Amino acid sequence: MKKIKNSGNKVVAHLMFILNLLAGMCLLLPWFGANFFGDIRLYSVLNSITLSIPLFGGLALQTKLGVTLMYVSVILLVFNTLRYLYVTKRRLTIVTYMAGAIVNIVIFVFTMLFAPMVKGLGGKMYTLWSFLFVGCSAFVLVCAVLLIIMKAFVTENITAKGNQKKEAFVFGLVSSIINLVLIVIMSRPMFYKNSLFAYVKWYKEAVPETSSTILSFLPLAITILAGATVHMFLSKGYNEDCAKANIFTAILNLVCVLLLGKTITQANTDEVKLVGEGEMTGLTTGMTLMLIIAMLQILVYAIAHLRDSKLEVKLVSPRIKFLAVIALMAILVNIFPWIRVTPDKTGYIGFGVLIASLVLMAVYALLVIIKKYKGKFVKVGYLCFLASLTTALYPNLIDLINNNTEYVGKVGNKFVLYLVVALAIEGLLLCFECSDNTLKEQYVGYVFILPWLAGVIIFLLSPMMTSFKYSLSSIAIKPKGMEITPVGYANYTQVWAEDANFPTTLMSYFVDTVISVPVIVVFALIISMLLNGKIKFKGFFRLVFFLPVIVVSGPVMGMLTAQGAATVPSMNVTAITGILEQYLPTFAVETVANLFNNMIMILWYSGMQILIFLSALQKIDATLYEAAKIDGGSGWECFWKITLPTIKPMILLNAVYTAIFLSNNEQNEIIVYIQNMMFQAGKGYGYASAMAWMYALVETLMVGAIALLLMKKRDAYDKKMAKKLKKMKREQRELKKVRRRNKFNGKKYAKAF
Amino acid sequence: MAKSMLKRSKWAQFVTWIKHPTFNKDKVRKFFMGSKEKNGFLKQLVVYALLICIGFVYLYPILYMVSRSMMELEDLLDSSISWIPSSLNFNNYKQAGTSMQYWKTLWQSIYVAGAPTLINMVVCAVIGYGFARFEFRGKKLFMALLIFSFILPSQITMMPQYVMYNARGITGTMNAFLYPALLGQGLKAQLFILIYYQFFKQVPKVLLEAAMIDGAGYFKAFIKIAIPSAAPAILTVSLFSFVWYWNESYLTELFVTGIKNKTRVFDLSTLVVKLKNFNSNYSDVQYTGGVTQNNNESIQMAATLLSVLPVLLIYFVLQRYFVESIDRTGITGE
Repeated sequence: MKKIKNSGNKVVAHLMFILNLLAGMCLLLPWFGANFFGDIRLYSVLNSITLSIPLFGGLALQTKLGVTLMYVSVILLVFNTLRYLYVTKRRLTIVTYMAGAIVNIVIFVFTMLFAPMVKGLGGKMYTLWSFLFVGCSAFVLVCAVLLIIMKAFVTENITAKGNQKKEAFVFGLVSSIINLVLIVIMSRPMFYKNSLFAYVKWYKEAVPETSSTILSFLPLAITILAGATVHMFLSKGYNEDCAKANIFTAILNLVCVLLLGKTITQANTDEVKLVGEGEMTGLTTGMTLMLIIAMLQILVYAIAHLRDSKLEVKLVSPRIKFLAVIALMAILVNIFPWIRVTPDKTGYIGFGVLIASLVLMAVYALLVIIKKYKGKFVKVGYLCFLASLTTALYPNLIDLINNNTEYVGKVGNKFVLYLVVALAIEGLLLCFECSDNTLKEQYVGYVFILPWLAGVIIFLLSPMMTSFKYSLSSIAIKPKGMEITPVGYANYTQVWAEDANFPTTLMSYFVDTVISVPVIVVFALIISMLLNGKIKFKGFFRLVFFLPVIVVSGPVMGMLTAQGAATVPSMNVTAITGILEQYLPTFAVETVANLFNNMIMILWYSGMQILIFLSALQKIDATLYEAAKIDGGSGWECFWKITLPTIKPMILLNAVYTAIFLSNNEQNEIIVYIQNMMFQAGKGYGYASAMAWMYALVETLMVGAIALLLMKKRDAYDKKMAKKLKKMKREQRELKKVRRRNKFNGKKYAKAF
Repeated sequence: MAKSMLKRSKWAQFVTWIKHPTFNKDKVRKFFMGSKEKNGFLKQLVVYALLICIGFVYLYPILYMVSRSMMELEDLLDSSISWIPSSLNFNNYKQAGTSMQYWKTLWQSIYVAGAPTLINMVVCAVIGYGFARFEFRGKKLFMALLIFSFILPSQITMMPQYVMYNARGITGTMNAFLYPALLGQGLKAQLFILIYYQFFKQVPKVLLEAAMIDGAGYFKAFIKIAIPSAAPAILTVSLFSFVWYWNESYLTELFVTGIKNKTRVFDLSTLVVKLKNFNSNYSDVQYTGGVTQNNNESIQMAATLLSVLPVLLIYFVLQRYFVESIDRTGITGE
């Protein structure tokens, strides 16, 4: 724990806190807006005060969930203030936490009492939901108590390291709990058959004067909650850490604002008008203000950093913090699917995920409490993250299965973007702060490849998923948009069984490629060998041989082939075919004839390969040849014994490159076929993507086969080495095991005596 | 004095050899078949013959293009003329040029190919450096993903991407090329990342570490040390990227010019795209011109030549870099 060294930090911490407070105040703006404009959803200040006295007792009767959550966030703000005042006394945080849990329980017991008054299915759902809420609050309480007990017993032993672990534990716990709550909310359709919007509709009918701002407030509240939690557990006094915790909150606020914006745009376009006019105005104002505040916070932080860049900052454990951020983001991810409508089946899956998450949490808690696996916190944290991610993604998956395309990907994609941006900011911050060099390198590495990672998700993986989904359905393009009906595997069966062209085209592509690849590679090798000698006008020849790489493109090649410029004029192809027919079976003749027919094409495709071979050949040590010649080796022998083995990796590279180039070429028949199918009215894109997938499979297999065929084989020495290394590793593991057991037993005996 | 003596004696030798020609069998053999040190004349002959033949085959389509594009209709029909046109005739170029709206389209092509190239150059460098310089978890997995994305046919992701772009309203604008390039997913960006990766791996780590000891951060070390030493790689990537974007017609048509969406007419087009739709465009333009001209293969060849001419010029000017870049980027490994 670091004491304050620099007054600048203190200032930063104060500033940050004030800004956070302001951001919290912005939460209240929509509410004021509602009051100011005097909507139907009017609440007088008096009313709200009276409501706040029995806290949430009247929840089930007349108020709304949105207001409740607003209160929660206000209370959390108060907690935050308290924590700020008594920040060094750590026990207090736990106490406040406990108090929160108790309050929660009280609230929801009340809710349960009043819930039966609400008629119908919704009431039942409500009861169940609050029941679950009570359950998890109780769990929190138990955990808090456990923590206090733990702390009481192990006080002397708490070192800096112990604290870290506890932090990790508590943080993991909190994140799991928040996850749990979200899961519970998400699995609501299990109890209540209709979607969220229908629920809101029902709610409005049942309780007319309520305004349901759930949609807009829940994410906000949870964000604040999470921010406050991080705030609580990560900061210790007015030091750098405090400021950092603030920056977490700032980032969260930022993300939150984005969420809010989305919510607003989504909520009011639907048939149910969720946000009233006054609230809307308040919301927009609050959003803008929060955005500005968050920006300010980040700015302040950045300036502070620049000013104190030489300050020695030692984090508690950068990894745990990183984890914490990831977990937080996972929570945020969870919020997203909640916003959108989930179909009926989601409930069951939600239940499954809920149970899985519970089990995970239990395992986590057990592991920590038993304290047997001290080093596994990080891994458990990752597990938690995974669980959260699955909960976040499952509605999308379900929609995918149900072909409910209205919502698939819309939310997820955008959110992934936010996530990546937030992670990038955090990663950058960590880069500046991390004192552990190897870890720092890792973070910096991630930051460097971050754009690519985002690109892979947005432009590769998610389109791939969508394409796969398309391949399982038939798609009709209507003026309004695409109409997707699921057909199962019909497209695939159709591709193979009913399409007359596809299997033959695929087969001819396969045979062509298998023949062309060796031809091109060997040809390139020959030319590069020729060029490698002492040749005059070498530059000119290289220029000529590389020329096709520049010129080759679909339309140009198309034009040339159409004009018959792709065949060598003096070569009589028919004569060659005639000769071949006498010696070869007919199917082979066709491909070979094809080869001769497109001789120039094949030659033109080998420009790059020639250059690669050439530069590899030039790098072979000349003394090798000299030595071979002194020993009496001929040029022929030199080629087989020296040249070929040395450039073998290049052969592999070229073969693979050629195969890929041929396969993804615009001139490729099968590609043309698929592209034509894509925009055909009858079969449409679903069919085309099924074909594309089959094609990708064949291509990947082929490239893999080529790579395997030419890969450097392990010789006896390598095999022996690998074996030995494996053995050594196993022995070491055994040794470690024995040592640990001895240690454990030693302790036991020491206790016994 | 001694010099002239020597000369005379040599001359005398030659004279005697002319008078009584004798052949040293070994010498002749050496001349034709070569020795261990030197290639013989015969071998040289064979090598040059092969190279010239193959070189001709390589150049054949281009020569064909040049010769055909000069021909008039009469020359085309005349079977006695196969290569050299009866007169130099640039009329075909004129017609092809007007039908393609050459100058306007040329600038557009440069824009369409150039802007993503610039982004590719920068972004791929950053990513390649990240892969080459740092060790982090999942690096192998990411590399595998990189290579996998290179193998994967683009037809799989094409349509969902199109739908996505359409929903965001970026089809028919340059953004459809710029955004993917910005996130390292441009045309063949995987290859460029690999090129940078190979190159940055050769930059000695000690150099970077020394810079960091002197007070440079990671980013500063990247910009001040790694980038200046990567000039050949940058050149390679920008050249290839430009050429490949230039030659890409299908994606350009789908995403940027938006020809599939007939309700909106976009102005952006490239030469290669125009070439692809040359025949239909040609009749349109010529018809509106009032005078109907017949489209023939000479004009088509002229159009083809016109569309590749800019890259050809770039290639001839920068050919040294093009060819050597492969060498220097270390694709072949050290």
